[in-house]
Amino acid sequence: MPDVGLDARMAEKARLALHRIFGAASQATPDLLETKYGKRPAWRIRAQGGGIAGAAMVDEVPGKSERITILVASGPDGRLMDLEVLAYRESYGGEVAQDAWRAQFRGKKPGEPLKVGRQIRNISGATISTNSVSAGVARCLPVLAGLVGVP
Amino acid sequence: MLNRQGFLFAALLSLGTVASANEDSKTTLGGYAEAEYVNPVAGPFTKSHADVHRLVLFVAHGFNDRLSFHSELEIEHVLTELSKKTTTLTTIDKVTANGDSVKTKSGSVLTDVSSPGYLAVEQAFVDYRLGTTAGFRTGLLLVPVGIVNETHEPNTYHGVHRPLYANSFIPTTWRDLGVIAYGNPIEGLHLKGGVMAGLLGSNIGGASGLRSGRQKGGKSNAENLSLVARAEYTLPYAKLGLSSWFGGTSGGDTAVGDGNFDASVLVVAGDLRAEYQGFFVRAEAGVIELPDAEKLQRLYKKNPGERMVGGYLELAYDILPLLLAESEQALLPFVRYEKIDTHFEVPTNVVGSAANSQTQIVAGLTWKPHTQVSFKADYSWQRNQSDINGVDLVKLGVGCSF
Repeated sequence: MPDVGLDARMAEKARLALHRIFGAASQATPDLLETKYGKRPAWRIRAQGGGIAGAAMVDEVPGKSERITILVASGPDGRLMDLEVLAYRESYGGEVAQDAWRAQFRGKKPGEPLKVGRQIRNISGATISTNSVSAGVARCLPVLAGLVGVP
Repeated sequence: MLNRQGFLFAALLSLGTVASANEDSKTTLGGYAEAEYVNPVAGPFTKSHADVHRLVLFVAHGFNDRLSFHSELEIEHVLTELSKKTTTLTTIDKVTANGDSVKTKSGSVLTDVSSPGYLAVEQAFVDYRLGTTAGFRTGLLLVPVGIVNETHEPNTYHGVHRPLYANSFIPTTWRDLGVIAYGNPIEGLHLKGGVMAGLLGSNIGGASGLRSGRQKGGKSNAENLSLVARAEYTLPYAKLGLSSWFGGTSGGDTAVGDGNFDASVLVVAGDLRAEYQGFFVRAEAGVIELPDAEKLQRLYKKNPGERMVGGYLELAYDILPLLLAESEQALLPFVRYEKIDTHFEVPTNVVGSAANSQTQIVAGLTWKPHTQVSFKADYSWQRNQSDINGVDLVKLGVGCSF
């Protein structure tokens, strides 16, 4: 997997999402995190009173023919706080960006099964996107747990 | 499965800004394929067959995040080599406008072509997303009517063959030149609509209704620009769809009428897909109106119905978690009940055929070792109201898309 970056539009979307998730504590510029899949923009969010409020990272997963860029944010306990779709580049199947679908990931912890059709609802006609985004969340969660220091 | 130790990160590098990696263009390859073994165990046909029904190669190119090209090239039944016989046409007399007789040779024509296969462009269009929720596509497009026409990869439906409804009622794969705009006005609602080259009434009729009336985008007769629209609404566990097609079928034949909407056909079709904890429900139903069927019959004698109806209900359940709780695979017994009638109402000059009122029950098993790979086995029971030519088929198949 190549490195993942953010263009201005996605960076702004990420900034708004982080502000919504973590409030004023979110920092503006991401670090570039080295993973075995390539470099990923990532944030370690410091709590205002000191300590860690959480962490977030950007990942890219394959859609039917175009990539889907997601932002995954975890709390200090390593559980998912929110998932944001920063860029969906195909014309059809964009329902993975809907809040009702993304909401089911909240509270999921690293290693928890995220099988589409069981723990995660499928969206008819968007099976590739739903499986891809679920797999993306599953591989981001342990990385974020590492960032917040959850073993 | 997830390996918590699978992710090793060597270092945190702090950078002021992150360079964009999304302006680069990209070409994607993909495709789908399906092969089948079909054994008729009852009915007039006794020979079984084995076939690579379809092999479709897919090439897409993203010029940037908004502008892309998509294409599908299809080979059906493996071979497209023609065994052809040509015959030179005899010299014919042509009378010119001023009354002179001129001898012309009209060249040679194919008089016998036999090939099991078929090579075709299934889709070829440019898609331009104007914003995050709207855009348009133009070129050779799939007609957005029903579920199967746009989503027809073999791993997306149960049974070795597509539903009868998606063959003889909604004639999949139905495609033609056109332009379609799409957009999401509110969350969960996806709308698309546009203008496409129409159907040809000179070929509509019989058991398969609109099927022969399709053009395929190769020098399509564009005398009847037709309107098509589809709305999809996504609910937490279901997706609802409503599609419609309206257009003339005269093909510019003045005997029928040279207006854009002459000998019009109206298709209205609804669909539902739902899934919950391993249960899957799929249903489609529709009606096709051809008010000028009498006129088409007078001119072309293909026995068109004035009204056609069809629908199916399919249930499936993933039993694999009951057997292997941790499995990532799926094993789905399914059953589908279908009914179509392309002679539901006929004009006075067409004798309604009971054979065109067809019922099919398909029951079988789909094993999906991966979401994009299906091994299939089914038994289908096909009957019609004429009580003859009922067919029972045992089918085995494999399909995948990537």
